[in-house]
Amino acid sequence: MIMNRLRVVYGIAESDLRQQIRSGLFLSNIVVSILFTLILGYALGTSGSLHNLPVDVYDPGHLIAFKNNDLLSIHAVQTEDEGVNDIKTGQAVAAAIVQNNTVQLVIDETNGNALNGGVAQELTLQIIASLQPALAQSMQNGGIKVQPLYGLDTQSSVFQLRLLAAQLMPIAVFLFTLVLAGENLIVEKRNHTLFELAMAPVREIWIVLGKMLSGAITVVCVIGLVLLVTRFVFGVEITGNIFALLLANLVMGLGFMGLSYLLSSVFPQAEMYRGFVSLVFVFPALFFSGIFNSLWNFPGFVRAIVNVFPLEWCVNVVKSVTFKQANFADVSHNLLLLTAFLAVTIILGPLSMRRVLIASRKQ
Amino acid sequence: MSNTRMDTLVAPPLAIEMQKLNASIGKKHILRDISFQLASGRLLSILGPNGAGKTTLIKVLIGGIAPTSGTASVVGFDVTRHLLHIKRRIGITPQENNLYEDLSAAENLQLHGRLFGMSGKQIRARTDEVLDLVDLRKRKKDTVKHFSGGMKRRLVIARSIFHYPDIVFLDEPTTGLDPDARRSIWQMIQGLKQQHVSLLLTTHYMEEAEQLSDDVIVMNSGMIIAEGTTSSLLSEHVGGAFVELTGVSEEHQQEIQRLFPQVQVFENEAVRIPTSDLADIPGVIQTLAQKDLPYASILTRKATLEDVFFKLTGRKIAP
Repeated sequence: MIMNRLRVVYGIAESDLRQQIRSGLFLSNIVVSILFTLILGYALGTSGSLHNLPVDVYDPGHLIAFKNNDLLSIHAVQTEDEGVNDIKTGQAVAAAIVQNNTVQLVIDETNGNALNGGVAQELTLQIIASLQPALAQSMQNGGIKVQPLYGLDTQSSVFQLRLLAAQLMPIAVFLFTLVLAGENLIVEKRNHTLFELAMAPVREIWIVLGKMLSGAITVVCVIGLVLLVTRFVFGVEITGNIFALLLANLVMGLGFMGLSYLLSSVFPQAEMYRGFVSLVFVFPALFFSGIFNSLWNFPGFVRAIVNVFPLEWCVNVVKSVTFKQANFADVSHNLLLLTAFLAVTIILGPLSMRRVLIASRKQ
Repeated sequence: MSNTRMDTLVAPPLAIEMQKLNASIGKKHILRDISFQLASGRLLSILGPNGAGKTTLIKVLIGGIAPTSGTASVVGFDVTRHLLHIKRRIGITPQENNLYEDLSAAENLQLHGRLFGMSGKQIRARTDEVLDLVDLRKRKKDTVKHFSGGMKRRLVIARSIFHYPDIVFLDEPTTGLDPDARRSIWQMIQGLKQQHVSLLLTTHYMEEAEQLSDDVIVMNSGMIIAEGTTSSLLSEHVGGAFVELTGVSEEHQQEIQRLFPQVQVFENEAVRIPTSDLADIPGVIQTLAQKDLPYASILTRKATLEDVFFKLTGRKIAP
């Protein structure tokens, strides 16, 4: 009996994948995801304004008068390591470390040149303005040194491109799973092919598993393909634990797949679903992901909302693993959040799909 | 779950049995007191206009709609309790061509085979067999989106018999097809009859029901209004043939009514004289001639199930 059920699961997954490849949806969505990310990234990267950027300051001798203003939000830390760690966890975009008559500006270059240039310039102006003549004399030899924390080549003409390319994977997985998986179910409802599946002599859960298997294989294929593109086309090297990055994307992808099954069960037409998902999920998630704009620009209460978007959790993992040598422990917080998201949607989504299958026998 | 059948092992189960069944969709009462049987190996047509409840009746039999009262069983299994057993034993040709358009004919059948737990070897062998039956073997590898409506319909029927079902439900299998495609489907259905597959056919084409059926049920407004073989329904309700006259004045209509008490009178000076057989028609014409009754035109024809429906409801079946 179990063999028959596995044949059902396999048969559904196989025919779903065939259709995706034949219809051209798979490749066209990969291409659209890449173009969308790069074009939007460049467009916003050149016009975005900056506000409220968090900067850690380690200045035990209080030699320099760092001040909050529209651009910077200064936070004093007790140790040099605390500043570096805040950058790694995304709590700060830069740290100013004042010791031995030198000032070292440590910046997170993964935020892009526009942001870091603005931060470095403002900090430098504040330092110069507050220096005492005697101290200025003593700093002549040391000066102000700006140091990218992760050693990326920020002067390269393709630096911005690589930053964006590194974050293609979560965007592609997000769009694939939320939009395509949901639309697929609606099209099956409309074409009455769900009826054919619903009349199979097995419990509905095996049909749902077949659909989910094809979805999971698609997610894995998208992840693999985007990984190859970012590595070999855009030359992005992963500095941290690649398995953490892959796991985060897989968990997020499956989570959004479950969500798409849940949402698509209430929409009769693919156009309505696409419109709803685009307005309510896709656009907010993209702009709250931190890929295209600085999240520090938002007021505090909006940043609190931003923190509940699973795409942002996954983007944080991808940035940390790609550029910041992060391992599982470093990204465990975001991985846990993604897992919790998956746990909810992977229960509710299939239950909704089962309901749709049963309803298809009535129509 | 028990898989015991409702009947005993002594008598072979009826393919379908429905007793005093009522069903509703929302607050709308769709099926009213439906009782009928389909014996194994026979073809039963359910004839009725759109909205008569034909498709709802099939939905009840496949577990899509729960009856509000009464019982229904398929191959001896109660539809409300043993749906998985029923699904294994039935094939369905729904009204829509619900095929995967981006898959080939063979791939659509392959998926169906997988859904019914067939092995790859079984599927390959059966694919050629059923595609031969519906004359699509040469198009086996073509994607369905390039098929005509008739070819898609044939493929849907091929799919419905792919897993060797005991009963096939054909829900308006020829609606929307041209006459050639329709005749080709009828030949396929005749072929299935010869293989002793039990068939339940819904249709609003009386010609289809007459050509194919062993038994006929006529439905209207969710109720069975007549049932029997085609010939018994004709002889019971309208006779075997008609002489239809036009241009008969009111005075002469009364004269004809005296001669043929069963005559039907219509508006526009038309009358219809039923006869029990085509052979009786010359006698009727001779009588009209002897009485020198004038008329504008005369038409003689065999009676059809359409006439039965008209007699019983006062309206036509065909949309």
